[in-house]
Amino acid sequence: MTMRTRRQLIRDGLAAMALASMPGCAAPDRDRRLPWRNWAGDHACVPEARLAPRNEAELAAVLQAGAGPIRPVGSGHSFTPIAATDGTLVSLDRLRGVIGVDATKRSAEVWAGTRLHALGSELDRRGQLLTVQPDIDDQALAGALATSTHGTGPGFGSMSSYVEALTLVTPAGERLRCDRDREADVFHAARCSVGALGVISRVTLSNSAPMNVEERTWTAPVDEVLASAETLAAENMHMEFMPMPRSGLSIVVTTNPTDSDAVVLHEDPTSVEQLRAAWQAVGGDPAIYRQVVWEALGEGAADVRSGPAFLVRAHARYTRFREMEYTVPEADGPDCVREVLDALERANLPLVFPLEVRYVQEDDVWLSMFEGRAGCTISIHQFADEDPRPAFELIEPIFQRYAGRPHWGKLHTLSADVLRERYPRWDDFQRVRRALDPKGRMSNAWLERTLGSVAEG
Amino acid sequence: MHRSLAFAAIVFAACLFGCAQPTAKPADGTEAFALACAHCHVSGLAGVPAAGVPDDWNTRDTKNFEVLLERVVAGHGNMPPLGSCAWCSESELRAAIALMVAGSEIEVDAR
Repeated sequence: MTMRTRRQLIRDGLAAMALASMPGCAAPDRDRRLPWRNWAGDHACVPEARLAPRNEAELAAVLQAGAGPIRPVGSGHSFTPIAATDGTLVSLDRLRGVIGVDATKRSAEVWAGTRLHALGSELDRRGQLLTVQPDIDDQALAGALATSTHGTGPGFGSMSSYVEALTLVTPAGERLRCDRDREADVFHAARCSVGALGVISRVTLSNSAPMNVEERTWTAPVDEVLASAETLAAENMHMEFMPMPRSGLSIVVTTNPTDSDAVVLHEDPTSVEQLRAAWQAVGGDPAIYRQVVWEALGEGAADVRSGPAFLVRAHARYTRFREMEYTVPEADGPDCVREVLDALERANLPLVFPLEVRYVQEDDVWLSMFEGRAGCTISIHQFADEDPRPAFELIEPIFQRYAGRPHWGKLHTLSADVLRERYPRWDDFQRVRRALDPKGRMSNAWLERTLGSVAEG
Repeated sequence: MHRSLAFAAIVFAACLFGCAQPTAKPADGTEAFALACAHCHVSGLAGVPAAGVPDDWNTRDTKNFEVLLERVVAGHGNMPPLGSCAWCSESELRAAIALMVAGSEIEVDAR
């Protein structure tokens, strides 16, 4: 036995001891082994252990000694089984909060388990603002970065693109501090890595100055919106639109800085249910449904919210749903949306949940949907208590014609061999993956399908 | 009890237990409450029963503790599965629910 092997054995033994004594590990015998489910409720697993380390040393012990597959989990907002495991589920719930800020550079080091809704106010108190923010803010920061989660606006990248530095705890239990100069390949791979390289424990984010914003929402004929989408996106800080299938109408939302101090945050998170109620009330008759929606919303129905940006950008989601999202080249966005709407209309599917169309700036994050090209993201949703497959199977081939890249946290059917063609830095990512996780301890069945096995990668 | 006072009392308790005892301890629900439940159950969100406000719980459609527990485990309405506490054991969830419904007519089984 070599000294190195003995040292390794001692290290692994210490990790196993640390794991066994970790708070939250040892549930009383009478406790049931509870399942974990994602927010949408479409994926579940029964992990052998669900752990929440209190510090990086404990996290390293989990990664060294935990039963595989080891999967990190945030808030469970991904629609895929990205976090599913019958081995070890690792939550970063106990690694939260702002570690420190650099006022000059306007950056902040943050524990990766921090939920976005808490991060907004914590940064605000320190004179900073997340430069971009998704409209759902329940996610953990690590989960949002792992899937290149984004907001909207052609002048804004995904959240992953605002990472200046990060600490990755590898499957071997090592802590790697990386940025553009140190461990640069790991940095480019880890900023969006679907939890395949280890677990990110802390992140330094490049932020913005706090601002008040005004969000304006109105409806307009979808043809008008598609024709003016590029202009609207260019002329507003944030712009998204939400075509309502079968109605001929689209919701448009713009957000811009304001000098006003008025705080108006009201919204009706159940309004999407009213569309479904209308569809059911008219017995699924498309002509009558269209008429009903136009009568209710067709006169440019408008709404205004305002206040601190971190509050206004967030929207409550009371209705559970399933979602597929693809990013197509920015210039192709309106044409692709038109095809999607036409296909839904022709197929006469009972899908009335609004689409969501957003714009995101090009970045250099290897597995980001926006790597090397600015994107238009198109999301299609279905209520969680309805089967999404008929609509998703109808629409997904359209996205392929535009060389679409699926969101890492949302539903799609692509496998690694197809995805490899969509990501120019795919092989570079796989090289880093093989180096950090040669035994594939971070891989579950979903990662094996979408990233390939470590051996094949 | 006034909502803000109830919240303050629970947060204080969470700090007493959660901050002062870094090592393993029996489930008392305070950490689960502080890290997972509090975001929705102290904010006055419409339809969400507030922690420490017995009337909010007494007027729910059930006063059965086990039913509440199963709703937390599976997710219910807008509440995510496991109440968004991916690491919580059954004991931890029972204790967190007990903390929130304290003073109500719900018969607690926190084990």
